[in-house]
Amino acid sequence: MRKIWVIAQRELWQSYTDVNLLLIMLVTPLALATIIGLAFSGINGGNAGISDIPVAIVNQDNGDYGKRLVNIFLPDQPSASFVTDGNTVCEQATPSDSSNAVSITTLTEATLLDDPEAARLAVQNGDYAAAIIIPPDFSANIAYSTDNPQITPTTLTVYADPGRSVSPEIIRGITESITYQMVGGNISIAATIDTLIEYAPLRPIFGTYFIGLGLTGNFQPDFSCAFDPNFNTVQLDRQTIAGEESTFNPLVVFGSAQAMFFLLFTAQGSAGSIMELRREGVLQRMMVTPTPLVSVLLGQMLGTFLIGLVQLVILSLAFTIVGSVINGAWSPIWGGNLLLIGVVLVAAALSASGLGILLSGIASTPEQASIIGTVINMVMGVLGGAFFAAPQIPALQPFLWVSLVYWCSNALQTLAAGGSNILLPVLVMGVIGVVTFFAGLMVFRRRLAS
Amino acid sequence: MDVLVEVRGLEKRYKTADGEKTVVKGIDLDIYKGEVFSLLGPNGAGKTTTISMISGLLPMTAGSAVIGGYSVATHPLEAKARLGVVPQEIALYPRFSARQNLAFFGKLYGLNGAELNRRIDEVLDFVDLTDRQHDRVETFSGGMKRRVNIAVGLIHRPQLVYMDEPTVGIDPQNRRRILDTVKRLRDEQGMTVLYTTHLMEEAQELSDRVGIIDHGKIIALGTVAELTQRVGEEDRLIFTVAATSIEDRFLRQLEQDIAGVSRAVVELIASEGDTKEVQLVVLCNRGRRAMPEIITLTNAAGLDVVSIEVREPDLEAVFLDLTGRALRD
Repeated sequence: MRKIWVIAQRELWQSYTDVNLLLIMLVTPLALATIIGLAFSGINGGNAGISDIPVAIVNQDNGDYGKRLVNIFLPDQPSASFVTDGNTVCEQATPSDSSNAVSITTLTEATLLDDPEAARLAVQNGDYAAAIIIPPDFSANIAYSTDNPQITPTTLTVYADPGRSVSPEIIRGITESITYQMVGGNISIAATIDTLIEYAPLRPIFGTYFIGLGLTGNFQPDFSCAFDPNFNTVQLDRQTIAGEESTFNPLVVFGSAQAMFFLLFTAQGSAGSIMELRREGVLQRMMVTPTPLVSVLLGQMLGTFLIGLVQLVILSLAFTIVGSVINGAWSPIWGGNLLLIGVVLVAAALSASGLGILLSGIASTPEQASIIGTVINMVMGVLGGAFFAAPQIPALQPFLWVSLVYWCSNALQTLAAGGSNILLPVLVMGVIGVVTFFAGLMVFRRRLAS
Repeated sequence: MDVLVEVRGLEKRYKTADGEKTVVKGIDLDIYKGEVFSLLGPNGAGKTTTISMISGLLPMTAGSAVIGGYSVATHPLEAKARLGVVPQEIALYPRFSARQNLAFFGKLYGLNGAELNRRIDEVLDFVDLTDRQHDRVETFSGGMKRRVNIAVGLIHRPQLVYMDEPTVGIDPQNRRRILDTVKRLRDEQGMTVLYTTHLMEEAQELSDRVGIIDHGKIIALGTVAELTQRVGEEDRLIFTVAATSIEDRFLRQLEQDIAGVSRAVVELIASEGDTKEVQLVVLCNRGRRAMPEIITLTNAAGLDVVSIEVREPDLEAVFLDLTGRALRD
């Protein structure tokens, strides 16, 4: 054990007296954290939440449904006639009174325009992220009544600014959701009335009463809940698993992936260093001392592990500092559970250092280690989301498990969101670390024997 | 004499695309305590493979090696603890100081604390580097690096020091210093030295006993005197000839027509532009007497003799006698 520590110490000393490596380990994380933070949040942006998306609405419909749609975006506009009379109680299905919920009026900044063409041009000019054009026959087509027992398909147009990637999609989604709600409400009304009509002949007392209501004009069912803005299903809830407020934080998403990605390059460097030692005969010299090969490689691995762990801690601190500066308040990047964060970082460093040993066994020269390592790292980086949200792409999902970047990022994002279910990623990283070490040992032994 | 190293039937085979290749073919060897034993042979003869197996770096295909009573195969750590290795290359950490290198390898040999520091001081003094001990090895001259390389091999006071061609690529002054160091190891420290070289002069100067190895086999073993007796009183006449080659027929003629000539071989020594020189090496009893006859035949063959050298019986002559090749071939 003492010899393992001696070799690990030597590896640490080698690394921490290498100016180039220090630059990579210390300066790069800080620069990376700053760049990601500024790129996604803006220096004064606080968090990365989306709000006040400029949207234009052109209502060519004089009916209630057109007004209702406008009301959702612009509550101060004249209301539709079927809003609740105040006596009806609509039970909330979703916690829309949550302080973390984003209302549509917060999310969007709507303007009512008259001319569809002007709205389209305004979107084209970038004045609005999107424009919603409500056609003249909108209410007539989707409303259900005894005069109009058919719900007719209708087209609601949303112009989107192709220069903006996210905002128009949000507007399109909201609009779709609202129209589905309206159509769904009307189908419910039709179904309810049809049921009552079919039911009345079967229950004479009820049927007589129902007919009486119809004859006296007192049949006035209240379906307002179906259109109540407070009952609107379009809610963007910013709840975390732990019930804390959370926003999309690019530092967490990309930072976690980049942290592991950089760690893999450290492990690759370590593999290259073992190759160099072999080329210079130093490794052979170590092996003619009374030190078993497994101890020599464990010492190398321990050195890489400690370097990697320090690197991850530095990177986490850098992300935390940059994130806190941008947010204007202290915000630990991976959340507050230091024990679990420690477990993830240890597992990540273990997996990377084990991979480094395997790489040093596979490669014949430092140059080969560099090439093979870079290919492995890039594949893992891409799959793990170090460059873009690859884990969200269905075609890539079957391959994610091979990426250490994915597992590390997955665990850190879980912790950052306030969760604690990191057993699987930690287990996978730990097993990969141990398996790759022993595989590396076997390959190394075979290579030395030849 | 006490045997320190006992090698029996040592063999190394490699699998190749064509089948199997045997590079070390059943070597038997004893090295006695306190002697300098040289393994002499041309490049590719199997010296390094043999030593790699004895030092436990390379697994042996067959046979056994025992150092200080411990089998390299079954008790490798005990055997290695008795062995100090000075490889041919400078196997050091260049960004470490001389002292840091010694401390690192000393710890791998199990030294620690005051004992480690005392040994570091001793070996630094032995190789005369005390005043540069805190300087990084990368700032040293080639000769100084060699001396640190040797010091690392001595740090744990091994019973056996193996030195693999330690004078390769260094200037004559540092070469002399290293050869003197090897003698001092035996004479002052009482260490046993296993020295590999392809330079006959070094083996002849340093060795108590020499093993001549060729094509993976020990072809001769004994003291320098015992080995040179094999070629009797034969001198070695070296004719440098301005030619690209010499016909075999001419060599056979020398061996048959001149009394006392036992063997004649050719060695290519220089090639510069169109000018090529070869060495005609003739093993001959009473070489000086035979010289005029040889020159007459050489002239008759149209060969232009540039220089002539006469050498007394030596290991080169032994190798030539045994293999029909010069050591440098």
